[in-house]
Amino acid sequence: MIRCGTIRARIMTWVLTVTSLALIAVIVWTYITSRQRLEAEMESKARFLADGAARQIDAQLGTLQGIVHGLALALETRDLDLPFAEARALQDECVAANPGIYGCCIALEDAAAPSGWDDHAPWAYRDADSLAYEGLGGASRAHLREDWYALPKHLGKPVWSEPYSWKGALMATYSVPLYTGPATNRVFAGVVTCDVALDWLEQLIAQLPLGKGGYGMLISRNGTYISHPVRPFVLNETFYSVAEERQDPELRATGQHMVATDSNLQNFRSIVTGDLSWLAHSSLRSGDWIMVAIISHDEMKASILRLARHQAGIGIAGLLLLTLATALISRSISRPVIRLASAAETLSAGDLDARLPAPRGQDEVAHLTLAFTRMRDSLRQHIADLRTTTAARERMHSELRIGRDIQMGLIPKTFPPFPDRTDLDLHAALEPAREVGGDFYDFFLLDPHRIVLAIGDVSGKGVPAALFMAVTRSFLRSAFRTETDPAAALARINHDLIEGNDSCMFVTLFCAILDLATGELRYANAGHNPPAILRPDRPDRPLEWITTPRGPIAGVVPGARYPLGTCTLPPGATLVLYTDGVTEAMDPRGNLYGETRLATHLAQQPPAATCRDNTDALLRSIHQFADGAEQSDDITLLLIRRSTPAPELRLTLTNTPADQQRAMDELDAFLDAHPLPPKQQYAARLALEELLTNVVKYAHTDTAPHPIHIHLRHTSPPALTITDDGQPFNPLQDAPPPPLDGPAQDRPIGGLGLHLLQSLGITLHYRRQHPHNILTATLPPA
Amino acid sequence: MQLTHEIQNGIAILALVGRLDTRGAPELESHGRALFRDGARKLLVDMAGVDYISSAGLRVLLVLAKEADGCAGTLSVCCLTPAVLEVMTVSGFDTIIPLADDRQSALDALQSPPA
Repeated sequence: MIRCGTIRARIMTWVLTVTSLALIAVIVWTYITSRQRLEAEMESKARFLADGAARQIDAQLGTLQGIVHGLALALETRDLDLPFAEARALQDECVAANPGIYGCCIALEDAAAPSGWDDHAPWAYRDADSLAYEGLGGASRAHLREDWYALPKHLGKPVWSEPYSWKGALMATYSVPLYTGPATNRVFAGVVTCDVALDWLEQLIAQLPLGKGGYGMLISRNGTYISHPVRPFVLNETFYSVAEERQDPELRATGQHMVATDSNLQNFRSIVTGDLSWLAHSSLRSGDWIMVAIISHDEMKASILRLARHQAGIGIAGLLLLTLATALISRSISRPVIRLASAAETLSAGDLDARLPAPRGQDEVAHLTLAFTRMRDSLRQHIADLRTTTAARERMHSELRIGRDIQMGLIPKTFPPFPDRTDLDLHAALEPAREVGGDFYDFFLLDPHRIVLAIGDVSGKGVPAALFMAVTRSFLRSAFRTETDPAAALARINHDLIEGNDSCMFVTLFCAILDLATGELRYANAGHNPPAILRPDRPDRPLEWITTPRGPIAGVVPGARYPLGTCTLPPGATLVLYTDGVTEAMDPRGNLYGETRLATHLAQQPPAATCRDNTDALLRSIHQFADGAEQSDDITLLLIRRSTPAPELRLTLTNTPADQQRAMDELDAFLDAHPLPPKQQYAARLALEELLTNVVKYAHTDTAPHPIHIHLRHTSPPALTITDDGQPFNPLQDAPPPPLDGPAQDRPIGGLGLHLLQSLGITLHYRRQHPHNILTATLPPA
Repeated sequence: MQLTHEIQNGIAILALVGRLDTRGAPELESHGRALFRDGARKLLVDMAGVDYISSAGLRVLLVLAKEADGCAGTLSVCCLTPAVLEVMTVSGFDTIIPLADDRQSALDALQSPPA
């Protein structure tokens, strides 16, 4: 089965179509050319046969004519002076010796006849196998009026008579005139005739190879049929009588043309078969007769058809052989391709172990198969490589993740870190690069007034850097547990790091202790980027770099000493600590962010911006600068600002109504001293009254006195925190909102307080810190 | 909180000055209850002098509204300061207790028989 559209089908279709067309073209061409050739051939055949037959008849008749002339000459030579018996003997001899001669007559003028003759027209003729005699010159002298006598006499030359039928045989008579007398005065004496049987003519003509539908005929000058395949025509009809009868002027024209020309060829519709034919005629030399040969066009057509049939037969046989050969060849081409295609299908489905067909021979398919095999092998190799590299990358990724987890796990990330403190604003951020860079920051309170600040950058990247950073951080913490001098602490960290630092890693580290009350900043720097102080109080020089003093990087120089630096951080000023990831952040063209850009950016920040605002703005600025370029190092920032402490109210009371009243009075006094906008004042009063009422009424199940801590911060916005040791109660979840519509009698009494607070824009935040409920109410902004 | 009491055309009027909070609320509650108990059926609370109300104060107003309902009486509140009016509004009390802008319109409303 050959499917449509396959290579095989295409080869078959094309080869067979082209070959068939060529075959048809050859047959058509051959048909046309052979038709022309055959036409010429047939025409010349007709001419040839007509001429040939005419010459053959001429030859036969010529011989007989010669005999008659011989006889006549013999008589003339003797001047007819011979006895009757001798003349008769000559006659008999002539007939007996020539089978073509039927009879011989010597007819004489009465005047010329020798006296001793019994008859003036003795006629010897053949009767069966013997010779017979008859005297034609009876008393009537009838022979003198016969054509065979009169015509030569008057024409003065030998004459063939019109053919005639004699005793059922076709005959014609040749008459030669006889003359006597001296040469100067020759006198007509009579004629010598021979009756010639013409049966052989018919036979001769019938034997002409004129093919099917063809025939020969002999006609006289008058158009009388002497020989014709249609017997009744012979001697009875003429060309012209038939033409008249059939009303066929063409036939008449044909006859006239034949009479007019010696020999020629013309087209003719056979009156026997009705076929179109070639008609060739040739006039006899011996008589006034015309030999006609007719060859039917059908004969030629039959020949051509025969030829075409043979050619078609051979062509179709060849075509069948070609089909078979093409099918075999195309199959030998397509089968390996199909096998290769199905193998490639399996290959494409991902089965790289699929067996490919073995290449056979040296052809293109074999090359393709080899190429496929090579492709499969290199794919396999590639996948194996890919697997290896993927595993390696996986490993690297997981190392990066581990490094980052270590790094991010060790830095404080909760901001604000000291929500209760109004005297400091601190924010920090660490954006790790794809490969951990080993940055870190740290801060912790030594006591309520002193905070330790540190920022560092470990050499190297990845897990080792992260681990080294972890070690540094723990040394830092432990150093500040005993030392209160940053320089001494740094020296100690340096010492601790050098011990066992086989991998020769190091860290740049800035650490400081900030006195939140006085603003005194004591610091030491181990090779770290100089921190900056942002001073909005000095518009002429808003930024100050802490460049000195500086010591060597930590972890390298044994026994290194670090000088102590001191400066003051006034209230409202911001200390900016950063790592080189900030100043060395690169844009896509490789430009660095740089200290100048950092300084310009910081100086442009509004004085009211918080440390978080400033941190976020700086990170945004760096990202904008980088413009999508990959971050090559960690970016770390730590900003701290001292604030003037906000006024606050701290109260501790017991859970009694009397103490509740006292708290309200204390609040009044505080608000008198530190007034708030009316709305906030109302909200503060309402928050304290409602929350305190809840605690006093519901927090405790026993009757023992319990302490309640109240803390109101005069921040923006103000916040009130109430801490009690009652049973856990989250008002945000445990108290359902009261229904607010419906008539008075349907409204439950109570449960309104919390709803009222929230309705007035007071934000509540509850947390349980065992054994305390800590509820913070942030008042609405002024 | 200071509380003054007068009667005008058979309408009891309680005028408050100060804060209607945990401390002041019980005083209003006892006075109001006493008025209804003594036969008053129409009570007007004039809050022109009240600059603070907490849920305790709201509760007392609700108690008095129920008390009035219980004895086929009427409670009306007038002359709210803006802060107090806001609290009354956000808590939905303006739909429970008839609020009047000034004392005269409150009195007129109380005198005319309910529609």
